[in-house]
Amino acid sequence: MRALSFVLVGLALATASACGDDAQSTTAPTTTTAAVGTELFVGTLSPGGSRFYSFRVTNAGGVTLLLASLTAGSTQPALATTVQFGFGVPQGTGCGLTTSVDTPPGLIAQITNTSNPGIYCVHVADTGRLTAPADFAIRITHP
Amino acid sequence: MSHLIRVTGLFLVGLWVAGCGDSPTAPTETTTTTTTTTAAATVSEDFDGIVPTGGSAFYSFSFAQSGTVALRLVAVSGTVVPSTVMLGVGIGTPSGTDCTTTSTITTAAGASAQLTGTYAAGVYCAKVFDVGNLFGPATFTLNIAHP
Repeated sequence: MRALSFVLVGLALATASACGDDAQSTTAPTTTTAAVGTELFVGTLSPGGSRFYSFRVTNAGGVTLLLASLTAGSTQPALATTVQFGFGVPQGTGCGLTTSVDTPPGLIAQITNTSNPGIYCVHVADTGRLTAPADFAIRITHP
Repeated sequence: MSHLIRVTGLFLVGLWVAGCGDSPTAPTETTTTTTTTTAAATVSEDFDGIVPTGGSAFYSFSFAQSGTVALRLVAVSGTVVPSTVMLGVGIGTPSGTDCTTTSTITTAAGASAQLTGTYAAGVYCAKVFDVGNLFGPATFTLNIAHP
């Protein structure tokens, strides 16, 4: 009988200790890192012309735009010609610019921008310096 | 035997005392009313363009409040293009060098909107394209009404 008493009291204590506040349990912190996507926009820019390319930013973060190359043709040497290079939101039949620079192609991103999720565009245009169509390559990195 | 009854009673009392302190709370009925405001199309833009044979043209627009978008192919003309020709009209989002449509219709120019829909705030595009009927470039006017 005494043994049965001990068993029952033990069960009661076990039940009591099993209940309670979960506040002391810990949850591992979650770190969210926005995935970064890279898109390549290649095309041909005519004298006096412009081109644009739209892309979607899915998470807030940094957007970098690099005008990587400008050539007179696939077998021609690289051009150091300055063109208008811009970033904005598609608008009408073009890209409504919010940022632009006149720049030759280079190895370092010419435009960086912190953007909210949405649809944006990159724009390249001749500023009057091209005498013949030029092939260009633009690298877009965004979250 | 009576001792067993006492011990069992003590056990049951112990269980009751040791029971979880957080006694369940009666569920509270919460009624959430979601009100979606759909703005009327108060902005009107005209897209004048040219669709080449087998080609397309698109126009981007944006609005900050969800609401109704209505597209109306107003007029179509061309040297070898009858004004009643059927063209494709669509709405979508700008992507790359094109407009990726999510809703399209084949229609002739008319007096009322041919394609309407309700859309969340954002950037969209309207596209006009040849569905195989053109033998020459078609000049068109597309009216876009949006919030």
